[in-house]
Amino acid sequence: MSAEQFMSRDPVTAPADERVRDALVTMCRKHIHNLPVMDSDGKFLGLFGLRNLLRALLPKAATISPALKSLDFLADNLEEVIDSLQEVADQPVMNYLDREHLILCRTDEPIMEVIRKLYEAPTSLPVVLVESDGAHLVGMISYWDILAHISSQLGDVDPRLKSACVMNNNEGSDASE
Amino acid sequence: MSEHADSVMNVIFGWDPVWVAGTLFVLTYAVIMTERVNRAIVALLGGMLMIMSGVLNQHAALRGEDFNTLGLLTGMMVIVAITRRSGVFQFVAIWSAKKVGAHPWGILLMLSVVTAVFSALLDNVTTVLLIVPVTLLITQELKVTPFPFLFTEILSSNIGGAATLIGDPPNIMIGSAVPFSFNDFLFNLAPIIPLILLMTLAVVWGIWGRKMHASETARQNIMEFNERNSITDVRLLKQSLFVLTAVISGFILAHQLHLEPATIALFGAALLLLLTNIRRSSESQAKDVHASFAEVEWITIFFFVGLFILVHGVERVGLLERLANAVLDFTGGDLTNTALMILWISAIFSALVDNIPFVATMIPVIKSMAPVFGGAENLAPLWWSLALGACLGGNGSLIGASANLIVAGYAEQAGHPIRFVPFMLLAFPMMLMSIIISTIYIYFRYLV
Repeated sequence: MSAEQFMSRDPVTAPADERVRDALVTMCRKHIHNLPVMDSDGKFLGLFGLRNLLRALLPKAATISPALKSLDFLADNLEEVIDSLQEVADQPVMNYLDREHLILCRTDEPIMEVIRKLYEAPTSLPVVLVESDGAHLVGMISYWDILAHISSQLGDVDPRLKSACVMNNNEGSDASE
Repeated sequence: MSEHADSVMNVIFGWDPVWVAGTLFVLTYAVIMTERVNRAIVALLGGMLMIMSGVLNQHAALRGEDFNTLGLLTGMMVIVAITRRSGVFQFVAIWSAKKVGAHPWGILLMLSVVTAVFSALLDNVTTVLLIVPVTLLITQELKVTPFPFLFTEILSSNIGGAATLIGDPPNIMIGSAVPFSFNDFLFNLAPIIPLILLMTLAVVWGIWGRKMHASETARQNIMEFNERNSITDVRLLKQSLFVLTAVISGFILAHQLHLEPATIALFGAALLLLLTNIRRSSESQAKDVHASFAEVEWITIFFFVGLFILVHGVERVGLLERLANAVLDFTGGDLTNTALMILWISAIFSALVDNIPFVATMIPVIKSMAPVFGGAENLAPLWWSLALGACLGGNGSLIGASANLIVAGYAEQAGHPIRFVPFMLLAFPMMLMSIIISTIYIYFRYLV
């Protein structure tokens, strides 16, 4: 039982120069939290996630380390957030990849290690084959993939849970999340 | 060298102790200067090799440790680590920015003064850690470049730190080694600090200040900050301000109380830990105390631990006395020449290398000059020269003081990197200006 068997294959991806605006459209439509970003040769570069978008909306003083612990003193400034979003939306997704929190998964990793990594990672896990010329993305594993896979093995123990989880995962089958 | 009568030096292979100690000392300082290996590792290794080679035994090495410096630093670091959680420093920064109508030059002025005052009462590194994030937030809101603000805060932190016994590590070390009180530092160093700060700000006004501008809307955004909301824990705020006030009053009264600064700082740390932990479960206490201790800058502390042993080693073999004699030969044993030479050499050295090892070495050197100048009580101008030179010299380059590097690290993360050469081209002449002012001050106050 390794990662390869329960990952979602052929995930939706975005080219490095895709604008954040277009990436968000894809993500909203397909209910994806994390979009794998590929270079022009199809090599995996990293994930563009909604978490990265949040980071881009914050003032820098809140994301550097050690950062301001609270922004409670700021006025209620929705316009500022809208301005930030407009500014970010026209940038390429490439500028907002989070390398610090990226946790990768190999195809042959055992299920317990995959669960541990998912628990630790703030994103879904990209499953990659690392070769000398770079990383090739072969799939993505989300919480739902794991849950669907485990419950699909439940047999008749809990048919209700089984069908709910598996169906949920299939609905978003082209999504990674 | 009376204290060494109890132990005979057994240096390995029967080598000359002067050469062994001298080589270890020079090698360690050289490696520290390359900055290839963390300075705490290098100093600790050098210190231990001083013992293992037989120049010192462990007993003698411990006598070299300045526990007053170590205790004072640790105690203040714990107090500040707890106090900052209350959000009080953020409150002061935002409050002062609003006081000047969020005008960029006014904010720069206020934040620089706040930085200088905090640096005088707390550690410089801590101060910039507290001020810089707020500065970056404010400059981003104002849509102005943060460089002039960060640049001036670096300078202000080192200038403010020079004012008191606890403001900057060189002063802490001098205060521990010489029987000067907190008030002695205040009466002798603090009077010149406002003038130096003022002149520095005048230059900053000339370069950037007069051209600073922010839009009305941007300023309005700052004016809408509610600084009261940055106070996250009112109880903690009261407790920590109480302890901080008590500790600083303790420093001022230390002489009358017959207490050393380290005792006061560590007592304050223990008291604040008690106040914040009492009536909590033992598990939560352990967690909180651990977190507070973890914020102590152990790199600095262990750097000192190793350094004190190294310096004690070269002192013990008589090398520092020779160095002192060489300095006196050069200055002709004249107090004015010696004081001004110490001021200028300290400043140049501290701009280019870490001022902590330099001061650690200079302290025994100056002490051994006492007979030439007719007793320890006549050395005061030399001590004040060392303090001003080492603290202000830190402004000469980005690597001159730890606070400078902390600010640069922040600036880099925020996407506004501060480069070594451009910083030095501006900061070095301004540092020299502060040393010229100090020269005049020391000359007219102590030497005529």
